[in-house]
Amino acid sequence: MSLSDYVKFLRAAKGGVTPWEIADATGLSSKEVHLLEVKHRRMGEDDAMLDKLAGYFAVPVDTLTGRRDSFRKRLTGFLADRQRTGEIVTLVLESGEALHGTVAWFGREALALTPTGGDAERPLVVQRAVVAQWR
Amino acid sequence: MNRLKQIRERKSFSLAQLAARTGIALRVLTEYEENTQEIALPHIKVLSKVLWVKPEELIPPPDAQPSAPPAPALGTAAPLQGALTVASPAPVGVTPAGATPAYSTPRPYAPAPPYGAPRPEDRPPRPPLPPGAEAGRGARPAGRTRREPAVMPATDGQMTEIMRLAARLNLSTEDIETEFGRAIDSITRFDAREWIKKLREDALAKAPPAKVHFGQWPGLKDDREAVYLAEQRELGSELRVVLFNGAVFAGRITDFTPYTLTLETGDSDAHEQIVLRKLAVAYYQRSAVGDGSHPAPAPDAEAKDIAPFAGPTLPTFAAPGAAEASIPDDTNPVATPAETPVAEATTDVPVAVTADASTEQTEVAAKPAAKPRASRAKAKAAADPVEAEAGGVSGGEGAPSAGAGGEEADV
Repeated sequence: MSLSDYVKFLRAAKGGVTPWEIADATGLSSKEVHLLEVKHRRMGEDDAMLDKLAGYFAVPVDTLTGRRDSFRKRLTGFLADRQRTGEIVTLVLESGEALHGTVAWFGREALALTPTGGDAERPLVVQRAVVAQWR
Repeated sequence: MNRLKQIRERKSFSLAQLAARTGIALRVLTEYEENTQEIALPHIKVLSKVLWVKPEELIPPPDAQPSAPPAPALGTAAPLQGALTVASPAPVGVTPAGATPAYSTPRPYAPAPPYGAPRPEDRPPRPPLPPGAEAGRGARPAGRTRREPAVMPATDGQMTEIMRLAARLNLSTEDIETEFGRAIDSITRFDAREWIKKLREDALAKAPPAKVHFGQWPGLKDDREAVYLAEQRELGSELRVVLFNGAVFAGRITDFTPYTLTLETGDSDAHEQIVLRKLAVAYYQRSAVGDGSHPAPAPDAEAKDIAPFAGPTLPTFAAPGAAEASIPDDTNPVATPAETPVAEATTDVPVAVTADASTEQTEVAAKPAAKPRASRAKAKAAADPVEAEAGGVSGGEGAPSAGAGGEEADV
């Protein structure tokens, strides 16, 4: 999971706090927090910022700094490739649940999987922020 | 000192500044100041305008030849003399041998005649046009045909590109010539352009480049999810939504925003609307197709705030590393999503409710007890998500610097 998606996931896990609430609590700029989530390129170069976020979400800072290299583009590239080839993909969610299927479409925040052997008219729409691993 | 230089210095212009303001090359201005070149008439006009002097002041006296000693000081300029007058109009295009062309001969400055004044008859009358000649253009001599446009052969670069594309498409030279119906040696530059365009299209269709740049992926710029949800809303489909904490909600989709999904549950007599924040959604799937009908909107109800609620217990998640370890090695899709056991709706999900007798709107998000004011704002957001979005209340999920949709692209 990318750093961007992981921060979004942590926000959801903490009860859906907004960037403004994070900014109030940590002293960071809400814009910085927002950009950390939505940017596709490598983000999170500021150690102090990640340190504050880790403290706020009560997670080890390594879980944030270790995700700098897995930025959002990587999942997007994977999906684009698999959509072209039609190969079956496996998405493992943060909860550990594994979903299988072919990529029907993907967008900025969600992707659609056609379940293997399932109805193409009934794709499974998965939010990107909960996808922990993919293969 | 040269007059131009004198005036320029008096006006406190540097050469570069004057060049910038007049558009005359610095080198040309230098030559004007060094008297190695006469000031051209168009330049006189521009210079006089920029320097706020009369054009006569810029014209050197008649005895000042190029590379001559400096002209007398300003203020003692001699009146315009015959050297600056055009003696007699020469026929167009005819210049006496050794003479300066008429267009480069400085002409005396003369104020423009008043508007409407008759034009001085200083030009010889034009000879009558020969029969059949077009007005404004000279007649084409008899027996001379219109010149054919020059046919340019294909460039080396074009030929190289054609060969490269042919190799990529596994086409031989004969194949290409057959396809285009011409010998490759005789194609023109225009033909080559068309060939390259066609071959590139074929190559792109046959094998798209493996490396795609961000921003060119299909659907990335479009909100595909919004398109899909709009379709389902029109169909009145029922969705089964699984939240990231395992809670499951099912209902007919009635509305959505970039941050929320509104589901309608219950039968036709007692509608209940649930607003789910996408932040809390893991995935959803259509469970049934509706008939396309839409129930009549419920009458507006005053928001009833029953907050605060007991906060939820944080769901337990697998650590990020544990999730990686749990990836099955085989890609055999044994466990389809439909078969994946999912916990049913739990009661520890916080619920903010606005309700009246017939219609209830429920906002669901994994969020601890909200402040009364925040709950009221969110209840309003649930009642009218569009208005709430416009007012900055979007179910609690915000995009501080971006609008709806929120995501900005790195292109």
